[in-house]
Amino acid sequence: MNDRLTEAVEQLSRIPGVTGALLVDAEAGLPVVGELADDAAAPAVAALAAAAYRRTGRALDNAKLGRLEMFRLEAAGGNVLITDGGGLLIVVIAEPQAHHGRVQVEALQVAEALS
Amino acid sequence: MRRGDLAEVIDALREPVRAFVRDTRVRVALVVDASGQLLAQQGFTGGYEVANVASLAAAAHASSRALAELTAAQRWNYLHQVGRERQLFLAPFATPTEELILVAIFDDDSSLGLVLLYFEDFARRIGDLPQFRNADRTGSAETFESDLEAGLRHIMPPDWL
Amino acid sequence: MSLVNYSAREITCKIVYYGPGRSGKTTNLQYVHSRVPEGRKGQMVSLATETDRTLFFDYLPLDLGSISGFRTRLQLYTVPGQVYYNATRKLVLRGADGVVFVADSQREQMEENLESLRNLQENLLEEGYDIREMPIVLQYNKRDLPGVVPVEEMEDLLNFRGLPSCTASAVTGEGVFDTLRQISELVLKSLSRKFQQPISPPPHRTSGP
Repeated sequence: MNDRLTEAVEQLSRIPGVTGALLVDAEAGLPVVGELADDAAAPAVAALAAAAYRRTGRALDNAKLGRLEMFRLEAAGGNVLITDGGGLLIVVIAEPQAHHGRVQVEALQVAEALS
Repeated sequence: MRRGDLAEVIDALREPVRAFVRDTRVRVALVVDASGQLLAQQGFTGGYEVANVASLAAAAHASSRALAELTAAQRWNYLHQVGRERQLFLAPFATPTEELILVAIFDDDSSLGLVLLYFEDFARRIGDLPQFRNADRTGSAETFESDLEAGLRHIMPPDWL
Repeated sequence: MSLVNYSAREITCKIVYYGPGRSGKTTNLQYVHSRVPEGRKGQMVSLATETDRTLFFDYLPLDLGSISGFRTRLQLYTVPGQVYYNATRKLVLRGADGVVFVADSQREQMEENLESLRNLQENLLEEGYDIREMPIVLQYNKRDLPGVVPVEEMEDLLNFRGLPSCTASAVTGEGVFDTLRQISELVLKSLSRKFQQPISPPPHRTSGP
């Protein structure tokens, strides 16, 4: 199981432009496996990503728009993409010039593999 | 260890606790000292219930610490209990003058990760308060019980009796 | 509640020392601990505040040796006496087989003694105990202090149920073991009655499992 998770993170980290990938325990908001530019930030990223994903999901629920499938934040310094794979959140951090389509496709593939 | 002015301490803790609750979205937060004296609370409505939680939290912390000593685990960082709908987080933190305990009760609006994330900053903020830098040893064994009760009266809304 | 293991021939009983704050409950256990030989006692655990007031409990396990062929152990507990700690007091009281009520003999403490006695009765009722069945010994402690309330007066004030009582001065040890002996006897007799037999080996089994 750990190998599978590590491989998933490595797969995402190899995408050009991706600066970090993290698998997060969705309920506890704790990092499980990850590679970030600054590993010390992993707990904060995990907690905040889980909180943001959960609250956004709840908002969509309330708006009767169905289940949240993916969540993307765009910032001046880069993007964060979050999707869920069966109790684990897949968090990918990428530079602005990364191929976001590829990031999205591979993140969804990882999510499906982990579900 | 008793500080000079309890009302001042309680007042100083109010904003950091409020900020912690706002950032973490926990339902209830308490700060107690190692004797179970309540120093701050957010989210409780009943006076007697909070006194029970405060004293039990101190007892739970004392038991955990004794367990750590007996099993040579040295020191626990925090205690986390998961229920069906609610979770409990209990963690000691040091200030220059004494050890305090944070108790947080949360549901799925928050998470352990979020609580841990803001806890360190919260503990640091409390430790920096001037009220926890110079403690006056004005308390005595005789005033111990009245101190416990005084804490409750200062913190709870006037109509809780 | 007593644990009686017939196959292993072991009995474990829980005795709780109750009473107002600073009446001498912990001092009782400390004295017992200091006098009981190694091998007959376990480690004493005290969960206390910085000012040495009991925060949760003190705990002292004792081995009484063989009584009627049963290895008999006592678990002595104290409760925190301050009114504030009622929630923890109730927890410690759970499963008690007997109670020693430690009263402070100083006149200015009578109100606290009465309040604590009322509290004991309330908590026992709340925990589902029949207070008439619970073995209780009253200990009038601090008899060494000057000007304490005479024993007859303490009996009038506190012992309206005619319970066994002892005088003591826990700091010197006087009366501590008398109290412990009395409560142990009461608890074991109560156990015998509960099981409708003296604590003795089970009948010989002739059938298979």
